[in-house]
Amino acid sequence: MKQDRREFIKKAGWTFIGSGLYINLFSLGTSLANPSRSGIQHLYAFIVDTETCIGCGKCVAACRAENRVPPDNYRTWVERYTLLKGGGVEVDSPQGGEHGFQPLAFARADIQKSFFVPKLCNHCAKPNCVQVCPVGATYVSPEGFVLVDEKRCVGCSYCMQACPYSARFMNPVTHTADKCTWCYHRIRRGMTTACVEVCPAGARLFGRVDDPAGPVARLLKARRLQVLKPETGNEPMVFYVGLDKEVH
Amino acid sequence: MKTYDHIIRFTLLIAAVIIGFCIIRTYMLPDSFGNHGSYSYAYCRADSADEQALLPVLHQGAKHCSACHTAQAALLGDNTHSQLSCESCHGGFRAHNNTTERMAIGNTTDTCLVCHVRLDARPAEFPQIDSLAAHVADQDEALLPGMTCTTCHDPHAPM
Repeated sequence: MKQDRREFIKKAGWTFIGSGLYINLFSLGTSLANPSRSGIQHLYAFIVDTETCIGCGKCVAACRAENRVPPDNYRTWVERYTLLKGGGVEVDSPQGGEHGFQPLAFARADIQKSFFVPKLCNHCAKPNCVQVCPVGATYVSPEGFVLVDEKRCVGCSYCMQACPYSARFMNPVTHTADKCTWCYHRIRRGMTTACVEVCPAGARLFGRVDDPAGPVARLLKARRLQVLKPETGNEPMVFYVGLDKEVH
Repeated sequence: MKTYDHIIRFTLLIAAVIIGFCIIRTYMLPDSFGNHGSYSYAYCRADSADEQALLPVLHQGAKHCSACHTAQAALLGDNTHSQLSCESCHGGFRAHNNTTERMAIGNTTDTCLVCHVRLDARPAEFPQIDSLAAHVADQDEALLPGMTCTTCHDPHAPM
């Protein structure tokens, strides 16, 4: 069969247009079969004040009780950063800080400064963990919560590797990916998260970003805030007051 | 035409595979699975969120406690510990309600020192002590056997 160049380019062009049409019609069919909800909005934000956190670990214990987090796994945890004079940085988090912290072995004179950094899932606006899930088990809810569908998850733990914040773990009971849900079950009932509920220092704050009278929207406007690892492009929705550059 | 037989056979085979795939896919996919607003971030089973919203709630908030425990609520008044939730120290509400187990917590120094032991990482203005013995000595008293924080302080009205 003889084929000249002009003929080949023509056919290639038609194939290209045809496959494009097919893909578009296919996705149109899918969206007709499952009419989309209003789309995703990022309505909530979490604010952590490292300047008022006292490192008591009540949040970690409350989270464990509220969400039945298995032992030795953490949906939230508290890290202690100790910056030494001369440049060293010590980070510790004994049992996730659940039972509080003990004084450090350093002499007080050697410590430049020290502070607590509570951590949790950042419920990013552009979450890596969701993009890598091969079975659609982790997703962003219409309100902007990053959630895991236990019934879909096959336990491949790609999401654990993708998360730059190590917020995810493999639940040893269900053998599925697990992480902080921002207490989705409480928020849908109009309550606040368990960790915010029990924090004695008021170092944690959760609420809507679009309610100008709310404490979160007020703080987002009034304070200069930072996020963890902004360079990853995940656009975290957990904001920190008083974060030093040493914190990762 | 004999020349195109192989093409027709091939096309039919491919068509059968595609139709078969579509039929099996329809039965295999769970209800509500699909694109829900974003191909990258919401290609999921929509019912999952509603299922998770039904999970039981444990911590109920201080208002639930003060409805019965009026004496403690009155003691708290507006002193420094009134900004704490009851459940900060006593634990989650429902466990108490279901078991009628008393929620009094261990009257030990450690219970208080979880928050009040002196740490460099704590804000300087937060009340902290090095140890019970050192604190009692600061008050020009001698540490007596059996003494705990609650010998002098009521946790519901500490100051």
